[in-house]
Amino acid sequence: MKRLEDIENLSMLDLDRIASDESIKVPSTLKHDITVTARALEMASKDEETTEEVKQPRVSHSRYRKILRMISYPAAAVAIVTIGLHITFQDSIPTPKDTFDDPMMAYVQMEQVFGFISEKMNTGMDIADAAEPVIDKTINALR
Amino acid sequence: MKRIAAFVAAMFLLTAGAWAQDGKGIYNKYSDNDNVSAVYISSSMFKLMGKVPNMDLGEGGSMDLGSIIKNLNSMYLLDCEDPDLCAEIKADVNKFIKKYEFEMLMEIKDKGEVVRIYTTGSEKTVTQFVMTAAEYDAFTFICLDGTMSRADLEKAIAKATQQIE
Repeated sequence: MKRLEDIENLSMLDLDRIASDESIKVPSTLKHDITVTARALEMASKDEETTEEVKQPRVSHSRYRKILRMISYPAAAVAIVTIGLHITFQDSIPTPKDTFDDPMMAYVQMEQVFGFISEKMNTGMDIADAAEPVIDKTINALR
Repeated sequence: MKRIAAFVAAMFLLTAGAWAQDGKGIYNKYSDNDNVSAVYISSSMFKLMGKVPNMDLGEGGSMDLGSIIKNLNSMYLLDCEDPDLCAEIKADVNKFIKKYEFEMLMEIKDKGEVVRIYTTGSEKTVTQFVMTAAEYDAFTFICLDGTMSRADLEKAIAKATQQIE
């Protein structure tokens, strides 16, 4: 039996001679086998294409547009309703009634509020002051 | 149709939720509650404070709040001593702080009490001042609205500090 390399090295004349050699018997089913193999290859390639299509379904542009149209109208409606409701509610927040009728009382209340704020801030300052020597000590130790 | 109705209802609730997220909204939501002490001073009252001739706005003694008061639009104060309600108010205040991007000036933790002071505005002016004081079973919310000079506000607080001492 000839090897593939040997066949490749043969000249055209040699190939013609071998082809016309009627002493070599050609299997009767060769033609049928070649046809079957070719069809099997064709079907296998078609199957591969179908599998790829299933994995990545192609959506046409018109379908995208249809979906976009379906979403855009309700989205726009919701946005308009939200903005409308927001504006309506913002404007309609009732202004509370003044707690004091007397400006003097209101002023005293403001003094108390500022006093309360100061008191709390003072506590924070005191804590910071108390921590200062420890911080200084730590800084000195690090130096 | 049902979907549209559900959408509108959801938007309504969202908007109503957002409604409570400022000083006025928080005050309106809780001021009528029996477990809350509430104080509101309007811009008209602040103007009136400045106009009353006999009112001592600092020159004669106490605190000098004149420069602050004339620039204030409103003051909201809520004081609550019901733990469940306190948690609810605190949550709304936190949303408000987050929504308006307040800057925290100071946080003081002392004997179980957490005091936080926040402001919004620029380098020289304060447009909103918020102070919260939270304990386990008590919560105080103070909100000052207006355009105050940062220097004036600091001066007023410093003066109040001297007053306490």
